[in-house]
Amino acid sequence: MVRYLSIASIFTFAGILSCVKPYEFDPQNFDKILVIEAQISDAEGPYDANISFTYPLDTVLNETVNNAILWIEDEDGTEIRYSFVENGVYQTPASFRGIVNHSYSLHVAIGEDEYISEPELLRAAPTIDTIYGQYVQKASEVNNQFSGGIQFFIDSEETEQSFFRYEWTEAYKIVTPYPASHYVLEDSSIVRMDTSLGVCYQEHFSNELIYGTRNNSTVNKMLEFPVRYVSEETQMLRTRYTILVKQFAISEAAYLFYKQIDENNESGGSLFDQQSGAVVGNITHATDPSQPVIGFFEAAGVTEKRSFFNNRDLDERFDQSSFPYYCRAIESITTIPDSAYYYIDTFGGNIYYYSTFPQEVGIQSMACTDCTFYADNTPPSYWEE
Amino acid sequence: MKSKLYSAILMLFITQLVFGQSDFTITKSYEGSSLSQFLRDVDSLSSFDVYYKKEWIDSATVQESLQGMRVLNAFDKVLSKSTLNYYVDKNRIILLQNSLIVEQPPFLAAFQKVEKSKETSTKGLVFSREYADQTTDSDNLEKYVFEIGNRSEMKQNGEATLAGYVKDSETGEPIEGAFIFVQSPTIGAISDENGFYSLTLPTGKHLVYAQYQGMKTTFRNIILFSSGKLDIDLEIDVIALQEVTVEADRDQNIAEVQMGVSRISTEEVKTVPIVLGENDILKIATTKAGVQNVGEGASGFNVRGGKTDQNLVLFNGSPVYNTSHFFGFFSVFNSDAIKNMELYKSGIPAKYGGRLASVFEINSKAPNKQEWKGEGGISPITSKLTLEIPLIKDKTGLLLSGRSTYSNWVLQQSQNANFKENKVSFYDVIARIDHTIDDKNELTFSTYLSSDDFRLSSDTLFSFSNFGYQNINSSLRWDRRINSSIDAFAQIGFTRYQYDITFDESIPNGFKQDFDLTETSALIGADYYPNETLKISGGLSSKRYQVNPGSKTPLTSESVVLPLEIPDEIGFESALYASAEQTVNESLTVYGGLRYVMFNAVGPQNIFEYGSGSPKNGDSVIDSLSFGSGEIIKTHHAPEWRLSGRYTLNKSTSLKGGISRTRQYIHTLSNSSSLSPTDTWRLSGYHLRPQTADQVSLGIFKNLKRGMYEVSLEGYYKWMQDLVDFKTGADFLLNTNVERAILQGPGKSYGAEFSVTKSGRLNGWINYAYARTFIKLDGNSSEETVNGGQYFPTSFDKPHTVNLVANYKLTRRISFSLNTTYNTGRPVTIPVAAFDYMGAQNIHFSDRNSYRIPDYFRLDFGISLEGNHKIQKLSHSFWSLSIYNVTGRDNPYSVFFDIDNGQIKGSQLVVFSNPIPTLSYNFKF
Repeated sequence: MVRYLSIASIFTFAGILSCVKPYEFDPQNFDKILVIEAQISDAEGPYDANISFTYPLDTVLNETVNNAILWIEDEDGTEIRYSFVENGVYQTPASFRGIVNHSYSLHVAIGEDEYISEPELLRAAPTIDTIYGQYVQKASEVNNQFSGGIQFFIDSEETEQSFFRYEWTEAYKIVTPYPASHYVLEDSSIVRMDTSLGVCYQEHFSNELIYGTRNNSTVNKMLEFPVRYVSEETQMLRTRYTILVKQFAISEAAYLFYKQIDENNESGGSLFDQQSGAVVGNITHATDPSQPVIGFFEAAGVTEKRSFFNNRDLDERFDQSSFPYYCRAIESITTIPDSAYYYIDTFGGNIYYYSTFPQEVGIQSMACTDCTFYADNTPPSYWEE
Repeated sequence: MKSKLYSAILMLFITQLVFGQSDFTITKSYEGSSLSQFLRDVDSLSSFDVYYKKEWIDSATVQESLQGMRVLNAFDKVLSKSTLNYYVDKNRIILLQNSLIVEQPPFLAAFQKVEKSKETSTKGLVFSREYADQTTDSDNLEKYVFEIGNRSEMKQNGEATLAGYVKDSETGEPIEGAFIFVQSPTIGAISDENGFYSLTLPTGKHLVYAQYQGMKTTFRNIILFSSGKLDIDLEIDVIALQEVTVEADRDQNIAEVQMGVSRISTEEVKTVPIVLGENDILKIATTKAGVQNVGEGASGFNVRGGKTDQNLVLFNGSPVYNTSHFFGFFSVFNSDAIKNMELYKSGIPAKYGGRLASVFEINSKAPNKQEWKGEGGISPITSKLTLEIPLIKDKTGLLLSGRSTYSNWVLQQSQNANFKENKVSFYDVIARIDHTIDDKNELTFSTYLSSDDFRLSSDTLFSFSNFGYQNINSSLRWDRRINSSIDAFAQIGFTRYQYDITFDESIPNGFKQDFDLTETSALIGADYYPNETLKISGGLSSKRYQVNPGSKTPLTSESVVLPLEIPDEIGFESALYASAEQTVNESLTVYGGLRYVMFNAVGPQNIFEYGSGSPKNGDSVIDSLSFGSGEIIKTHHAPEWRLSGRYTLNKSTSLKGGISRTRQYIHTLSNSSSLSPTDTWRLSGYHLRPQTADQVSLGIFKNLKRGMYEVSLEGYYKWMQDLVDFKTGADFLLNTNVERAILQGPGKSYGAEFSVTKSGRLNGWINYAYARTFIKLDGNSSEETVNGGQYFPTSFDKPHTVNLVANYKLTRRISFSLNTTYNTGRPVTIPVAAFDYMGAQNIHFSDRNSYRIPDYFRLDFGISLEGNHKIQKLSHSFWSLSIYNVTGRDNPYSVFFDIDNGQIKGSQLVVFSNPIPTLSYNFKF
C-alpha cells in the first residue's frame, strides 16, 4: 500500500508542479506607437532626445522619426529648440543647462500632432559618498549554478529626494599573458615593436535601467544600493577596474515608469504573476489624450563619482578565472628564421619572444599577444594608475 | 410510493367512518351529578365503551343539562372546560389528560397508549421523536394519525397553524430547506436553518408531506384541531436518492422567494468526479452557472463578475478568509464534515453583508447525539477522518474532523532531488459541540483551523523560501425559541487569517515577513412568525477588524535586513438589519430587507493628504495627519436594500426578481491576475472608499416532466462603484503608502444563466452562462488611468461557460460520472511591440486585458464502486477512481514573455497538462 501511495503521489505531484510550454503569439497583433525618450539634467549638455516607433516583435529594426520639431519650455516660458542630428536623434544647444528647482516640459511636434510632457521639476541630487565592492554569490544566468562576483554598491549623502536612477561607465585594463614584442616583415627580418600591444582598456556603458528608492528605509539616504555586479566569470576584474556612477534624482512618476518598463521585460510565469500593462509616462498627445505614446521626459539633478579597484584589493574569496583565451599552444621556431614569417602568415599570431642567439622565435595566438585585437590600447582620458 | 399513498387514503376513509357513528342520544340531564356517573352510564347504556383514569375525573361534576344531546356533543360540552380531551375509536371513547395536543397511535395500539399519555402530557408537548424511538419503521409512522391541537379549540372552517421541526432521523440534525406541504389546498413551507417550519391550514384532516433532497419523502396523517406541533424525521434515502433529489429541488426551486441561490449538499458532491482524491464542495460550486475561477489551481471564485475578495465565505457563521489549501488545489473544507453549502449569487438576505458579490454559507454537520458515527477516506494525497461522538446521549454531541496530507513524507521517500527539496504540507481540523439545554435552548460551539506550510526549492515562484498560512475560526451560538412564533439567537465569533514568509537561503538577507487579520464579532437576531404568511427578521451585529498589513524582521541577528512595520489598521463595522417576507397570496411572495451599516476606521494612524486633482504620489503630498489611538479617522455609513419577489404562474412555473445593494469595507489588494496567497487585505479608511454594488436580477423557473427536469433562466445586471484596482506595476506588499498604488473606479457586470438539472438514473446538470464584467479606471492623470479611461474587461471576464455534470447509476453499487467544462479564455495583457529605450530593447504591452488566452476545455471521468447496501453492515465503503483532464489538453493558466538574446519569447504556464488518475477509498460507519 505504501508503495502504491508513493508512486501515485509522485505522479500526481509531477502533474501539479505544472509545466511551461512555448506559446506562439500572433505577430499580427502589432501596435505601432510613438516612443519619445528625452532627459535633461543640471550637468553640462548637450542633451539628447530620441524619437522612434515601436517595431514588431519579430523584427529588430526600429523606425526613427526624423521630421519632428522638439523644444523644451521652462517655467518662464522660454523655449529651447532641439536640432536634428541623425536617425531620430535630436540635441539641445550646448549652451543649455538645466537649473535645480526649475520646471521644464518637453514639446514634440510631428506634422499636425503635438505631444507635451507634464512639467518636470529638476531636483538636486545628493553627492555619492562611496562606491565599494563586496563579494557575493549569485545564480548564473548561463547555467543556473551559483558563482561569485563583486557587487558594487554606492552610499550617498543625506537627501530629501526619494527616487533615483543610475547609470554607470566602467573601464578595465586588459593585460595579455604574452604581449607581442616583435613583428616580422616579408623579408623575414624581425623588428622590435615600439608600441605595446599587451595592455589595453575596455569601456562599457550601462544599458539597463537601474533605479532605486530610499522609501522603506529608516535613513534618508541611499545606503548600500547595488549598481553593478561583475561576475568572476568575466575578465573585468583581473587587473584594474574603474567605475563611474551617475546618480539622477528623479520624480516618483519617473521611478514608476522605469520600474514598469523593467518589470514588463521580465514576467516570471508563475501562478501569481504580476499584471503587466502598457506603461504610462508623462508625455501625452496635446489634443487627443487617448492616442498612445510611450515616453518620459526626465529632468533630474545628477551627481557622479568615479572609483578605481585593483584585483589584489578585492575580497580573497573572489576567484578570478583564467585568461579567457587559450594561451598554452606555444609555437617555438628555432630552425629557419624566415619560417616565422610563413608560420604567422599561415596560422596568424604574434611574436612574443625573440632571441638572436641561439635564434629562436616564440609565437602565440593573436588573442594572447595583441589586445588591440578586441580592445583599445590607449587609456581613456580619466584612467589613473 | 404509490402503495403508501393508497394506504394513506384508505386510512382517511376509515377515519371518516368512525366519525359517522356518533348518533346516540342522551336522555338524562346529569346536571349537578358527577362526571364519573355520566361516563359510567354512557359506557353501560350506549354502544360506546368509555376508557379513562379515575383520578382525572374524581371531583368533576357535570355543570349543564345534557338532555337530548348526542353522546359526542355531550362529551364536547362536558369536557370543554376541563383539561381532558377524548378520542373516538369505532365504539370506544378514550379520555385523555392533555391540555394541548393529543397524539394517537394506530387504532389497534390505542389501549396501550392511554396509559402512556399521562406521562407524556406532563411535558406539555409530545414529540414525534418519541414515537420514532418506539418504532423506527417509517411505514408505521405514516400509518399513524396524529391529532394536532386540542379538539375543544377547534373552530369549524377555521384555520390553525401547524409548526415543528424537520430532522434527520439518523443524526437528529435539523434539516434546512425541506419542503413541507399539503396537496389540497396546495400550501407549503420550507424549513429554516433550525429545521423549523410552519404552515397555516384549514382545520381538519390533512396529509402532510415532507420532502428533502437525499431523503425519503414521507407523509403524516394529521387531524388539525388547533395550532400545534408536529415534528417530522426524514430518513436518508439510500435506494432512490436521486429521485428524491428531484422532488425536493423541484418544489424548492419554484416555491422559494430567492433566486440566484445554489444549494449544494455533500450528497451531491459525491456524484461528481473527484480531483486528487478529494470530494470538494467548493469545487462543485464552480460547476454551477455564474460561478467561475481564474484557472486551475487558482484560489477564490468569481461570482457573476465579482472579484475574488467579494465573496463572504461563512463557516458555521464565521468568515473564512482563505478558502484554499496548497494555493487552490484543494478547498480548506473537508467535505465529510460538511452538511451543506448555500451560495447566494443574488438576493442575499439582509442578515448578511460586507461583501459585494456573494455569500457562501457553509455549515458543518451537527454531531449525532444518539450514537457514534464515523467517516473517512484515504487517497494518495490526503487522509481524513470524521467522527461524531455523543457526549451526553440526546443532549450533547461532538463532531471532530481532521484531514492531513502526507505528501511531505512521500516526497521525502522520493529519489528525485527536485521533490526532496520541496515541502508541502497542510491540515485542517473541524470541531463542533452541540448542546441541547432544553427543547427551547440550544448551544453550538464550533471551531475550525487550517494550516498550510511550504518550502519551495527552486525559488521561481517567490522571492522567499518558506511560506505558511493559517485560518482560525471559532464561534459560539445560542439559539433560543422564545415562543412558538419567535426564534432568537446570539453569536460571538472570532476569525483570524495570517501568513508568514521567511527567506533563509542567505544568512545576511534572511528575513521573516508576516500579515495577519483578526475579526471579532458579536451578533444577535430574531425571527418572528406572526402568522404563516409573514416572517420578520431583525438583528444587530458589530465587528472589529484589526489588520497587520505586514511587517518584516531580520531572521537572525546576522541578517542586515531592515526591519519594517506597517502600522495596524483598525475598523469597526456595525450593522442593523430588518427584513420581512410576506406571502401576499397563493402566487405572490415578496421579501424586503434593509441593512444599515456604519464603518469606522480608527487610529492610531498617520495619513498623508494629497492635493486634489493631482495623482497620489510623493510629490503631491500637501499635509500629514496624525490620528491618536481610538480616534475616528473616517466614518462610512449607508443603507443597503434587498428586495425580491416570486410570482407563481402555475404549479411548475415561477417568475422571480430582485434588486439589491451591497457594500464592502475590507478589500484585497492584489496585483497579480489571480488570487495570490500573499494578497493583503486592507480596510476602507481615509483614502480607500467602500465598494458598492447594485444588482437587478430576473429569472424564470420551470419544472418539466413532473420535476424530472428543472429548468431555469436568470439574467442580471450589476452596477458597481469604487472597485479596487491598482496602478500597473504597483507594489502592495509592505507598502507604507498603499493609497498611492490603488485605483478605484466603477464597474459593470451583466449576464444570463441557463441551467437544466435532471434527476433519475441518469442525473446531473448542464448549464450555460453568458457573463461579462468590466471596470473603468479613469483617474486625474495618465498615471492613474488605465486603458485610456475606458471600460475594459477584468482579468476574470469569461463570456461563455458551459458545464456538464452527469452521473449514471449502472447498478446500485456502480456509478459513472462525467464532468465537462468549457469556457472562453481569460483576458490577458500581451506584448504587441518592442521599442528601444535608454539603449535597451523593451517590450510594449497591449492595453490591459485586451487579448485572451486560448479557451479552456476539460473532461473528467469517474467511477464509484460502493460496498453493499445492507443497513446492518458495520461500515459502508466505496472506492472511487477518477481521471482528471482525460483528454490531457494543455489549458494555459497564463502566458508570459521575456527577452532572451534580443528575441522576445512567449511561454504558457500549464498547470495540469496530463490526465491525472486518482484512486481513493472512503468508508463510513
